[in-house]
Amino acid sequence: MGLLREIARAEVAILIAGLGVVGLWKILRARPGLGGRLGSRDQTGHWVAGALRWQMGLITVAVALVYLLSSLGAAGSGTLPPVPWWALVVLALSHGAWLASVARRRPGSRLS
Amino acid sequence: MELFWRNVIRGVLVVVGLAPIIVVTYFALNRSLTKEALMLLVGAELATLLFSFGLVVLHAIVTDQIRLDSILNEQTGEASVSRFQLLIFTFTIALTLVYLTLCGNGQFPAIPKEVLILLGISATTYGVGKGLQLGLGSNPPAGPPRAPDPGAATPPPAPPAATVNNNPNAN
Repeated sequence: MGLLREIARAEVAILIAGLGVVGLWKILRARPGLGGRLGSRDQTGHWVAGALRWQMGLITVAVALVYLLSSLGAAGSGTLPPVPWWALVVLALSHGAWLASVARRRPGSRLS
Repeated sequence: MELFWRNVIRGVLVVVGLAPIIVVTYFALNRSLTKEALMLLVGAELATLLFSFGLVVLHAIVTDQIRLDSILNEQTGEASVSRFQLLIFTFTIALTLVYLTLCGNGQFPAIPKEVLILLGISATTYGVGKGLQLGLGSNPPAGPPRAPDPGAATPPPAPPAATVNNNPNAN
């Protein structure tokens, strides 16, 4: 059973590495590039909407990176590391601000 | 070349499927088939099958049968931040689960409620954002003018279309 577990671990590692490399390659190769499209302005042409999109993307990447780093130290604990409540609040505010900017663009919206 | 690789994959799957039948038959005929050997065989078979399925999916992604280049796009072609954050958080939690399982004793790790809230925020943002952006793109594009039908009655006047705020100074 020990050998079987090692084989299964190797297979999972190979599949995840393969999917990660191929997926990243496909996404980054797509034209127009992701960064250019994220930086483009929205239908209103206002810079605030672009800034809200960028802050949401940056906070997302920051929270994900910190969580991945904290999970490296939790190996063998048998539980996923918890997320601090203030990080959840920051994330919810960030996403809420972006959703409000999208809702503002709706035709007939009371926010517009 | 495409047909060659497809046949190779089919051949591997057939061999993987037939191998345990041959091995079990061989051991059963020799009366030396133990429960541990059978469990090991079934485990190896399951691992190999799952690995083969993964390789098939990977092959389909490489050959563009499964297209990933528009996974972060809206229907209009512009980048989707809601899809981006859902992808990032899903992969982060999934990779952490795989990592803790592989580093531990093989048990499925416990998931704290804060992680579930995090995934809930992410999925809710995606759902609400998709609904809002579907509303944004609900105005049908103007098509070519149709020739008037001489036998048809005069159509009623169209209601005024909703307008999009195009004023950049409206914020």
